[in-house]
Amino acid sequence: MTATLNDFREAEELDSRPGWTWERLQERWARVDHWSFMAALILIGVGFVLSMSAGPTLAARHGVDPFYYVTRQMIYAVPALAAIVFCSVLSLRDARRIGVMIFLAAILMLILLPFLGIERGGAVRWFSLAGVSVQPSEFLKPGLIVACGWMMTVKPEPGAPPGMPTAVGLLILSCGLLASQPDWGQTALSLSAWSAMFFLTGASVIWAASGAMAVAVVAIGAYAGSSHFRGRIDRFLHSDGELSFQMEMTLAAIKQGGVWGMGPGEGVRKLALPDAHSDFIIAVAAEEYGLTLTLAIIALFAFITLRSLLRAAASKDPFVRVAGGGLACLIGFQAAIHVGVAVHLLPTKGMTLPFVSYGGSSMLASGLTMGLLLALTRKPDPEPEPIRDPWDEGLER
Amino acid sequence: MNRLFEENPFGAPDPDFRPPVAEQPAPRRKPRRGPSRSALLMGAFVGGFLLLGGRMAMVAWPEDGAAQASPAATGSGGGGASVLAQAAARDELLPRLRADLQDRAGRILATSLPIYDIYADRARILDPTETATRLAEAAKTDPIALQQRLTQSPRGTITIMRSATPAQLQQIHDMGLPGVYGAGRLTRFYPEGRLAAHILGGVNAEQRGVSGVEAGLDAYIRDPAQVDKPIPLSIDVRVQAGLESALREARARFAAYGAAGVIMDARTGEIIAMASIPDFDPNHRPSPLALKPDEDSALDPLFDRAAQGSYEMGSVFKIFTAAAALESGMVDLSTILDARNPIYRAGHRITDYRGPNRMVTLTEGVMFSSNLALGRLATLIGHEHMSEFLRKLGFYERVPLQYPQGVLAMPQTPRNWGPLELITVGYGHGISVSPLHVAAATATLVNGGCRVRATLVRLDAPPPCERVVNPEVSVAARGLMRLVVQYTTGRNAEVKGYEMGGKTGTALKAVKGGYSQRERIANFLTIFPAHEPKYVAIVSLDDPKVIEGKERNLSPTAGRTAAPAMKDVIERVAPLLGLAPDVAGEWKAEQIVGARFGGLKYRP
Repeated sequence: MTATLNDFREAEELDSRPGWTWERLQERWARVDHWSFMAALILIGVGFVLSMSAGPTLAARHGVDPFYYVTRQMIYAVPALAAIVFCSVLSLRDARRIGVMIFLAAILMLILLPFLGIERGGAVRWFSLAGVSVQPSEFLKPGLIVACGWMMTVKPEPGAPPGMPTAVGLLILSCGLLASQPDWGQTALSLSAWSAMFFLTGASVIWAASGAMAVAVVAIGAYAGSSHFRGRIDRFLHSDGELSFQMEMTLAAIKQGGVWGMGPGEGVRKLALPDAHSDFIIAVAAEEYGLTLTLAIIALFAFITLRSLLRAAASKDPFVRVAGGGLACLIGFQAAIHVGVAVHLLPTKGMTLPFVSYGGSSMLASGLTMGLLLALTRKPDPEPEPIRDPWDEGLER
Repeated sequence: MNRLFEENPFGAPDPDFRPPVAEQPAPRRKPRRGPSRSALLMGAFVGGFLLLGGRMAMVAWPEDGAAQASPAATGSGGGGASVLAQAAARDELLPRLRADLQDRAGRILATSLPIYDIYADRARILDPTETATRLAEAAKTDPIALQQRLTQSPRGTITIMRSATPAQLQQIHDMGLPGVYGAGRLTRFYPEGRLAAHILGGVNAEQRGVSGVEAGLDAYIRDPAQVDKPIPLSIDVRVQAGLESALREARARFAAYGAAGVIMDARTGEIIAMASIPDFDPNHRPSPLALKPDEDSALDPLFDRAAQGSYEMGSVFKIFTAAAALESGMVDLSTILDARNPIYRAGHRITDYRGPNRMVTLTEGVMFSSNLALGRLATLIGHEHMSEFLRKLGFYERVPLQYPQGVLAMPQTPRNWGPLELITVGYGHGISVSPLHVAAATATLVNGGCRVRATLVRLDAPPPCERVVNPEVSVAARGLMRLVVQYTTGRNAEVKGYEMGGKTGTALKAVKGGYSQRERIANFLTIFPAHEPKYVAIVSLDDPKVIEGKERNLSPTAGRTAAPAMKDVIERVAPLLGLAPDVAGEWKAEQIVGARFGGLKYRP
């Protein structure tokens, strides 16, 4: 069979689809929020520096080369950076598509977790994919935000799915899967980011209030149902001078660091903190580099969050406003929870610091989140192309 | 026109829709929810991040954050990432509960060390199999059982190991197992092990004293204001070790149930050493023995024979009878006493053991340990003088030692001083006291007559003299005791050059319903140097037997058992007490006893 001219034309059209020409990508990159991108790069750099503090301790515990985890951190940064750059130049439709695909994949993996996952302690959170541990819940969050952002902003028109009910359904599904692991930290984070989006859609206050009530009911249920969770909360609420070992170490580390820190490699509490490299990386930063670095880290996250919220809010596209705001809140909330736990404003809950904490899943998921956020917060396209919904196709043709 | 952008999805179509700009959160033309909600959200974030930064600064900034800082966040300053620095960082989190105990030279006898309970937080354990395998190795438990607990226990946290040392904790930390932690606490540690076990006593899990000085001085030891100041005890570790080893050997040599000994400063009453064998290791305090009602509580290693046990001391008491008689002024050392015929009183027949069987002077009566002579002497002076003298020496009350209330021996003295009681007390029966009582009373008697109160706390200066015995009587008592060691029953205790004085005492052991036919308590009381005693010592053996040597199977008198045991003790501890043997200038007790020494037929 010989190819007809028409076939070639179609192929040419496909190849030169507006989203995928080099010029188009370059043009999109020019509109990306470079300041937030730089802030994320700095945070990844901070992550390197801190991995040199926390990594060798971890390596010594596991009996591997001292710079094993430093190297791993650098290796993880490559796909994370690639994800940021790649996602940031996607067309809005492709970004949404990628987000939904990530969401569906993560949901699938979460459903399969009880059968295929690795049990560690009381929780099943990890997959082993070709020798690499993957934590699907990390990827679920940006996917959930993008998918729900889309659903929340669906226009009521013939053929369109019911937007808000679908978004609520997706949230319940996600939170249910996360809570069943159980992973209350990720559940709370997803719920918070989703609620922020819901708030951004301009939903009525009554709805928001009843949502908050529902959350309270779920929280009380979790408190009553999970002894582990209850213990954490009780310990947080009744901790007059009686702190857990982790909290003692973390607060002592921050205290020890003071304003300027003890100096690189001089920290001692990281030796005693079991999760210094991930859930308490801010304590390592505080002890060795002091208030200077911790405030800088907080400022960088605040910068990314606020600037992205601002840019998202400026968009004409409701999907961008809602999903972009949601992704910005996701990063902001996660950083805030991490720091809040360390300074004992929140109950102890393992939460990585995006870009900074050690861990492949966390790093790549942070990169994807940031990339999608950058895609959504690009300056408005001078020649906007419509985002077509799947159900639009029939109507248009 | 693109349909997507021509209407606000949340409201009516709005052809005038204009994207909001950051500086203008509220659109001018028509109020809208979207942008204003963004602004609210951003405001919340600004507030949240400011709160976090402020809190971080508060915790980190010592000047501003001192009040809010947690008790854990103490101090600032450097320190390398060494194990020691890490241990120090942990230790400063543990409040000191008890002051250290030291011996009189400042050597540590009891201190508080951090130990750790290792526990696992199940939710944070990544790999129970690996965790169980590696922890079981460190904690020396069964890995299978541990793994089952890690995977199946209904509890969130599981205790893996109690009382791990800092080194063990470090070893477990070095494994890098997530979810495994150590909770620190201070525990009492006795670096000398069994040494002075009864004196030190012990503490319970709440770090409160349960016996010995730990309980007796509990209020001082736990006083938060004094907790950093070690408390110096009166004992000397070296002397204590010498006494204990000598007693342990004597117990084995004479196959005794137990042995007890006291070495006391004759002037101040400070106990330099005090021991009771069998003993225990206060670091691993045994539980009290489950004794049957008719069994002797002295079998329990926790029982302090020296301070808690009360025994009839036998002939050792003759020195007090003689002193009481001299103190009464009714007799002197040359008073002649009848030691010939047995005494029959209240259906009892009282005789001497290898007695002189003739008329003797008071001096000879003590030297030959004549029951008849001393019994008759007691009858001569009467019970008022006897009981008054014993009261002055402290035999009517508990020794005021720094032990918990009520555990110390309460002397059992005759309630009614009948003629028989007077006679038996005269030679040391019918009155039960602790070896510590005898030591304190002897110290009072020979130090010139100043009342001595036993103490386990080092005194910075001797207490003021409260004279209860005539100094003349005191000197006479020294002379009598020296003669006993020089010439008669105490010869086996003599250590050349230390000029020991002493008195033997073999008591029939009181058992249920009377006296044992076979078992004895053998005591030897000593003072040295006799012309001006610095120390008083007593050794007490419970049911010794002469099982070796040429005297094998002879009656186990104190002269054959307790006296050689005392010789061992003095040989070991006298040099440690700073006494040099003085072979040349022997103090002759005869000079003191003087002319009244006449009539002594016995010559070595």
